[in-house]
Amino acid sequence: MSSKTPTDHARGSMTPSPRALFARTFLPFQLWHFVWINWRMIRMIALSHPRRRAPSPR
Amino acid sequence: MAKIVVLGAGIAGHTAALILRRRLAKEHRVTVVSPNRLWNWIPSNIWVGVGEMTPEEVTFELAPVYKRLGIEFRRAKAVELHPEGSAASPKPFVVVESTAEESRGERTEEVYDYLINATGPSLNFGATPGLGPDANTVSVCTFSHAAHAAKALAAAIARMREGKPQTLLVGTGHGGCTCEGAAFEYVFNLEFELRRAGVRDKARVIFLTNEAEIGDFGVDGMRVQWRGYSVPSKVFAESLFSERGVEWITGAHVEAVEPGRARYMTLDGAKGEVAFDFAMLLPPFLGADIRAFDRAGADITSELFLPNRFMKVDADYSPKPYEQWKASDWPRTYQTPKYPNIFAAGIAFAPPHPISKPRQAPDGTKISPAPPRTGMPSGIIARAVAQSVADMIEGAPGPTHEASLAEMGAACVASAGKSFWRGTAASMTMYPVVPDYDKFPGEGRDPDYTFGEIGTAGHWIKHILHFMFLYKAKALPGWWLIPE
Ligand SMILES: Cc1cc2nc3c(=O)[nH]c(=O)nc-3n(C[C@H](O)[C@H](O)[C@H](O)COP(=O)(O)OP(=O)(O)OC[C@H]3O[C@@H](n4cnc5c(N)ncnc54)[C@H](O)[C@@H]3O)c2cc1C
Repeated sequence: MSSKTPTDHARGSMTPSPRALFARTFLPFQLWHFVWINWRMIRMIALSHPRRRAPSPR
Repeated sequence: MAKIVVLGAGIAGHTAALILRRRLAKEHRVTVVSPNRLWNWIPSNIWVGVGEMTPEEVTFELAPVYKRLGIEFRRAKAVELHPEGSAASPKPFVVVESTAEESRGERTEEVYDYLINATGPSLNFGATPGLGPDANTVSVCTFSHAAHAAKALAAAIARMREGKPQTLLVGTGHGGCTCEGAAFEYVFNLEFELRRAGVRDKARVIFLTNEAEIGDFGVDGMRVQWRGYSVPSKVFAESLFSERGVEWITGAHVEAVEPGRARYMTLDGAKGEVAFDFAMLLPPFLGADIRAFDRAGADITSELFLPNRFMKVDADYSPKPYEQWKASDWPRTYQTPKYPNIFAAGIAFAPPHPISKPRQAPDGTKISPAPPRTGMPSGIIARAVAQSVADMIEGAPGPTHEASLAEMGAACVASAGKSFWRGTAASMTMYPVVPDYDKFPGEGRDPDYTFGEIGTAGHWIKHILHFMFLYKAKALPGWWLIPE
């Protein structure tokens, strides 16, 4: 079925633990994650930027 | 001396114009044609749509920026393309229709040596009867739509404060929509605002989407690396919805919206109805309405554009089943096959096919997301096109730069509430956008660069990106150091 009731939703989904919820807004953890996410994004962005084509264009 | 005409001053067109102007000698002319006087950082429209930002905070006047940089600006929309010129004019040109107050409706010709079509999407509210801000739903696709949505949301909150329960419906308004990420982001921001206003217990929030599963995002879903597991984005997304008590309806095509009621059909052919007090439903997209003519004046629109009005570029458009889709189908240079001096960038280029598996209801109604071309890929494509055009002006025989969506990642920071200490955002990156099963067998994407995370850090990043991209778009000192 494409459509679900709210109860189906709760039963079939992963739910965060109190620890995971706390970590989401816990400052030292988030500061560390800020650096970590930025680092991963910068690497991915660098990989994605245009590259020069091989000398003989199609 | 060469003249480059850029159609559109959105993320792609503005990026291309800035790069060309910086790169090329002053003798070359760069002209931007765009109907709007303002530049809009569209991702922040989400915050305008919940009343957390004003339209002024997400826009700025383009004319002073272009004047300072030496870019010519025409407030107009392109209506006709004459890539071979005409009997009267040997050079190719675009017919543009003024949108400026003093000359509204006047048509003039813009001659070009190179043309970059970056006209983005045309919002096709007409595809679903009753959809759109002029009918029964609101939208956040433009800053003015978003400001209107914020007013409607404030009114719903006021009714809840008076003790009246409300149903808020958010999602896609047609089976062929794209940009599900924006609807996803909006529903979380809206839910956060309801909690902040102390009325969450009075609200039923429903997410209705054309995705077969939430977390598909029009990219066939992804597997995110998370705490040592490779987790399908469906699990990650469903968890976020359940946690917030947001219900969802997937695989849905909205057939019609009446005042306070949306009628839809799901992939299994079942028909449904949702009564709502507030509905933000995104429209499907078409390309800009530009007709093309050859030198003799014959209509050649179908040679340059697909029926959905997006421009044909160096992609493989031959129809193939899902199982045969390849990373190599996707364009690399965005040059049009017939006219080497015309390129398309951002949403304006025609994708060869969707990315998500195509699905349809038993009666043949297509219900599956169109491929997204989000901000980062739009900017990167614009950069590749601008660099190629600049090199071709300086003597290169063809495009020199390439940026395939199958070799490019996307970073998406989906805000889930705007507050410096309590706000959170889901930060997701994937690489590449178009899965490449030859390069990354099994998952189609590089597990090292495909990850998801939710927390306040993501919210800070989203906020920083807002200021960073406005700074860059204003071409303030050092703007070119900021990547797309
Ligand atoms: C609500 C919302 C939230 C989003 N959030 C994110 C996000 O968080 N991250 C992300 O990466 N992406 C996001 N996106 C997607 C992102 O905004 C688009 O990918 C991006 O704007 C595409 O850039 P573009 O230049 O192709 O089109 P646009 O930015 O739409 O620009 C098109 C330009 O062409 C002009 N134009 C239209 N017709 C004509 C014509 N006939 N002649 C001349 N000019 C014309 C328009 O006026 C406009 O200036 C979001 C989109 C929406 C709607």
